Amino acid sequence: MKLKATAAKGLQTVRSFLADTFRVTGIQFTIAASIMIITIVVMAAVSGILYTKFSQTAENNTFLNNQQIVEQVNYNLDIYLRGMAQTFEMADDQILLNKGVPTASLREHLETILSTREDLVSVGLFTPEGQPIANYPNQAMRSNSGLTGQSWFTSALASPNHLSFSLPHIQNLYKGSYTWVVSMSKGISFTDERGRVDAVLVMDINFKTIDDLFRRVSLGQKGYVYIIDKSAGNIVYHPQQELIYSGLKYENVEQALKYTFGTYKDTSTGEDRLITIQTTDMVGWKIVGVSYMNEIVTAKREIGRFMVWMLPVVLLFVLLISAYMSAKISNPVRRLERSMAKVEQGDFDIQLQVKGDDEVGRLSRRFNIMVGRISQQKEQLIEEQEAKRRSELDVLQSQIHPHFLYNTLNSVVRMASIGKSEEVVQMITALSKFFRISLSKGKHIITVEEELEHIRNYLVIQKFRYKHKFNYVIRADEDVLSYSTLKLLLQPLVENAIYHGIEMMADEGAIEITASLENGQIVFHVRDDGLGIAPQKLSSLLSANAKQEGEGSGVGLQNVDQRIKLYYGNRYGITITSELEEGTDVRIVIPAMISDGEGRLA
Amino acid sequence: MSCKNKNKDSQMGFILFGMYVGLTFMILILASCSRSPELTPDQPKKQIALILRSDSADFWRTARMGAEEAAKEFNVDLRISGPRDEENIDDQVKSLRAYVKEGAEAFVIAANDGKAMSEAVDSMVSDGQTVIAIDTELESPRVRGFIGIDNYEAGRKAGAKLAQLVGNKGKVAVMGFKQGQQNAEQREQGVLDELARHPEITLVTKQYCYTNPNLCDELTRKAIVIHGGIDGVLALNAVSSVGVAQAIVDMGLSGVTKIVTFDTTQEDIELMQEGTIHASIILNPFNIGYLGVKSAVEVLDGKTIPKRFNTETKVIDQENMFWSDNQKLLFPFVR
Repeated sequence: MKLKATAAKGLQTVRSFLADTFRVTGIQFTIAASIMIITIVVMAAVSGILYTKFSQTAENNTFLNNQQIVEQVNYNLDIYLRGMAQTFEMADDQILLNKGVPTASLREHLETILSTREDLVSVGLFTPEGQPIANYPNQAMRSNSGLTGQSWFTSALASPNHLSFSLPHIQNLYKGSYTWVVSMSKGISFTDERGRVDAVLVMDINFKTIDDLFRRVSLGQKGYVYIIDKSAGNIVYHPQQELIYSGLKYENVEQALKYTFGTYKDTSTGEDRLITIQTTDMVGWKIVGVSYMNEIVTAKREIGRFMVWMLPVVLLFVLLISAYMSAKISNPVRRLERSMAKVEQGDFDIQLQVKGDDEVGRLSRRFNIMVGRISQQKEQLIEEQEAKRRSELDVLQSQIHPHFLYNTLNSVVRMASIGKSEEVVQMITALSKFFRISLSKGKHIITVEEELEHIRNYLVIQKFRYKHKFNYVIRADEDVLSYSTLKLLLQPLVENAIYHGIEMMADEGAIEITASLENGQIVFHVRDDGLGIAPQKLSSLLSANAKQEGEGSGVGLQNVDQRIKLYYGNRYGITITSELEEGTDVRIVIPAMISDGEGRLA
Repeated sequence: MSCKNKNKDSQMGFILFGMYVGLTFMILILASCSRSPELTPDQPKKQIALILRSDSADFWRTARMGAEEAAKEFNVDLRISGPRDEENIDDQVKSLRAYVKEGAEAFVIAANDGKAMSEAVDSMVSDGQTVIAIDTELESPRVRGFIGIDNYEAGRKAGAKLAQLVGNKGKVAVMGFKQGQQNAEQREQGVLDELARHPEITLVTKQYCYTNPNLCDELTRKAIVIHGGIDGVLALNAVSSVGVAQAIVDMGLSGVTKIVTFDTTQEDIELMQEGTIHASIILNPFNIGYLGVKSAVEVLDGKTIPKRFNTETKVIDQENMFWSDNQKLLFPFVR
């Protein structure tokens, strides 16, 4: 439990460290982290593959290299020995020509041959009993040389007319010095005056040339070649021959003997070694190349170490690149985010600078358009609110129209002065009711019944004022009365009907006001049989730029229409039909709604 | 707008170019690394100094060959020196001082004077450095091991061979090379102990002729004259054997007076084939040199080595001298 907490805390620390160090969160961190992880995985995989590949190649190269070197040594040895064999044949020919007699010309020939090849030590001709016939150069023989027992002598006798090469040995025939030589020998026969004579011809090659050839070969740092005799496995040459003879070193000759040529791995000496074998047919020697596997392993380890060293370098490189790239991607997004935060706080005057045509660029452009729309709509809303307020102000004004009040009171005074007290009472009563509803505690919404009552009072007053110049009728369906309506919708229309329709008439006019319920809508009609409205005037009456002209309440048709539309929406409003000399019919449509009693629509 | 796009493309191009350059760089490093894996040595070479008793004698040249073979095998930086002759201890001490200064990690020393060299080692070589003695034993706590022949045992072998050659009876002489030298004394003791086991053999004289063949020649002649003929002479080193053989040949006693010697010179071998010298106790200097360096490497690698390692000796006579495995011992050089 504690461990878990510690681990969580550790993770937290690492994360905050990363965040602090690289100032990255969100997209940038995600991108950078993914690139890093991918890189690590890919690098690990690639390193693994390369390591395997390289070590395989290193191993194969060593195989091939060793094979080539050993082959080269074999080739050189072969060429060298062939040259020597040719020289031997020349000497052989000369001896046969002179029938073995050491004449002056033979001596001259053989000494010429000896002097041309400085690694030729001597030429000797012996009887099968080991008695010398001729020696070149002419040196005193040593006693106790045991030449008849030496391998070159016995093999020449065993297979006459066949050139055989001996193993390297110390030449002990002549006084002077002991030299390591390889002896070429052959049993020959020629005929002289005594008849057929058998003899052994031997030519000694200084082993130094061959020894140098082998000594110079190096396979890796520690590797070397050694030579064994094909038939018996005797060591012909080995750089550590003394150690092997005294048993301090071991060379697995038995296994090498099984191969004519090829490569195999050998562990018999306690170390992993790569053995490469070639056979020289001429002398029957096997050239055995030895190289140490741990040198190849060293090369492998070197590669491995290099990989380990390279990994952090690459990671650093990738870290920089990924930090740069992820910042390039996430910065515009973050800029966008900051702008949105500003919009969130109500600042709509932002325009992002759009760079490029990528996803973020397009997003920024859309964002700009969106912010533009929103601010446009906001302005529209403000405008509407203002219009509403204005119209309400107008209504308020019409509620307490001073001109109307003055006219009405004037009429009352006039009537009182002529003693029409009953009419005065009627007039004042109507006026009082009219104002009560007009004001109605500042509510905008009243019932249809109240609205109709209001208009009735208005008509009562107007009828007195206009000396009964018109009659009026108010009709309403029973069920429509309890619905709500905007206050003072009808008054401006009736006012219009009186001023524009009826006042100018010669005859008595009639005004009809109806309220009814049609398809869930309340429909009012204000009809008069007055002068009517000319068609061109009619069409402009409700348009926005219609001026309120002449007298009247100052609250025109347009105002009423606008109020309806503001409260109920554009579907509702006023339609006017009118014919000159016939009259005008104003139709008002509002939705049928019940008020909650507080003057607001439910 | 198009201009802005171009700008961005060029930025992207720059990044790609950077990545390309980076990758190329890495691949180049990888390639160059893989091409020469064998050229880079795995570890620093060990610094080992070899001080030989002589820089010219065949014996020490062969030892040097063995040491060089080991140096190649064990990745050693081997520095070698040796004075002109085997008497010179001052030059050896000088060499040791120089090598200590050069910072060798190990010293393989064949001292011309065991006591003097032991003192030099004590005073110059620090605890962290390793000393391996070869051929001559050294008395110093710094010396971690000795490689050489068992001189007493070799002396006994020589004595036994001489006894066999003279038919276990008669008069014999011993020609030593230096008094007070440990190797010589041990050899001599071995010879004397062995001869003492043959009651019919009389040791008539024991002489020291140092490294002077002429002195040996003279002393041998004198002994033969004084004692009225001697059946066998035992020369305790190669140099003295030459003088002994010279005297025997000159007096016409070749083959009659048996000679047994230690080690061989080119002349000795010839004399052996001719039948003047009858046997020689052969050391294996190649192995001594090789094992000296190898032991030093093992000590540096933290392995424990035996305090003493005896290399083998071989008795060579006319019969076996040209056997193929003896040829390499008698004739270490291909020339």
